[in-house]
Amino acid sequence: MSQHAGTERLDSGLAHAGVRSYVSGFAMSILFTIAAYLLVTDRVLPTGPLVAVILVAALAQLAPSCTASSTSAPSRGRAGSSSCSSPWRSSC
Amino acid sequence: MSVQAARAVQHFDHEVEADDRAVFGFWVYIMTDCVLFASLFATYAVLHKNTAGGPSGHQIFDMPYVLAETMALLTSSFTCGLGMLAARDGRRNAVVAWFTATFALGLTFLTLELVEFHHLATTGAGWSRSGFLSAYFTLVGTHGAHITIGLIWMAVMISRVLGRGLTRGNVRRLTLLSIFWHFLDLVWIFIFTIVYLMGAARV
Repeated sequence: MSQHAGTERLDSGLAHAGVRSYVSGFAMSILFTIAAYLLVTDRVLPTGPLVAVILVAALAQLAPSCTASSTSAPSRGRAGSSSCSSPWRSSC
Repeated sequence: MSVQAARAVQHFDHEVEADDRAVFGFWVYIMTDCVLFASLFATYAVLHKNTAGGPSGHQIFDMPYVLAETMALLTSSFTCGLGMLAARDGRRNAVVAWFTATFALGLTFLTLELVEFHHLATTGAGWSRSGFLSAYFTLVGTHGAHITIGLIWMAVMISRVLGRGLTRGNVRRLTLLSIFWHFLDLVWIFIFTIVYLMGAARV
């Protein structure tokens, strides 16, 4: 273990993932792909609804989720606290 | 601390170190693959106008067909991610189901790509027709070869999870497989944008 002294463990990122982030990320990737496709093929692009959906998906990433079900997310210095995934601590 | 407890802790540390080394080594491999694809993209960028009197991208690309390929691969990346979430939670049957779905979608993508290649080759737009087509087949074909390897790896992992369960080693391998699969998805987005969309738009 001595060679790891003073270094952090590598992180594959899996512990930070959640179903909601995957779903919103997938939805956004589909939306952007179709938007690019429609732009290139000169078809009608409903800009307003598209931007609204993208904004909602982006905001969903920042919304608090104060559930007790998440188990393996790192505590980020909040050992023993609730498993809130929001970057805004006060929102929980 | 008893001798047995100390050995257990030491064993756990070795396991964690093995995980770290595997993930780090795989990221190094991904970096080398980035260099490979960067070279192929650069080659395509240089040669994409060298049609030698043959068809250009605008004439040969069937965009709805390519969009279907893209949707299959994007969805496979999504199911792969859900499979990894199930692996993290220790749900073996869900892991097998999600990775089987990922395999099916990946196979769909590969089949569509091979049919597209066959169609191009039989309509006079084969590999040797022009510099543009050589670069196109090399770039997209290399991605397809990676997808093939990923599918073989996925089939092996599904059988391993079915046979041995979600052991620490299997979860580690699934993690590496998911990194690989997401990387291929990312490369395809660049191919879709630079080769197909820009080709169809005649940029």
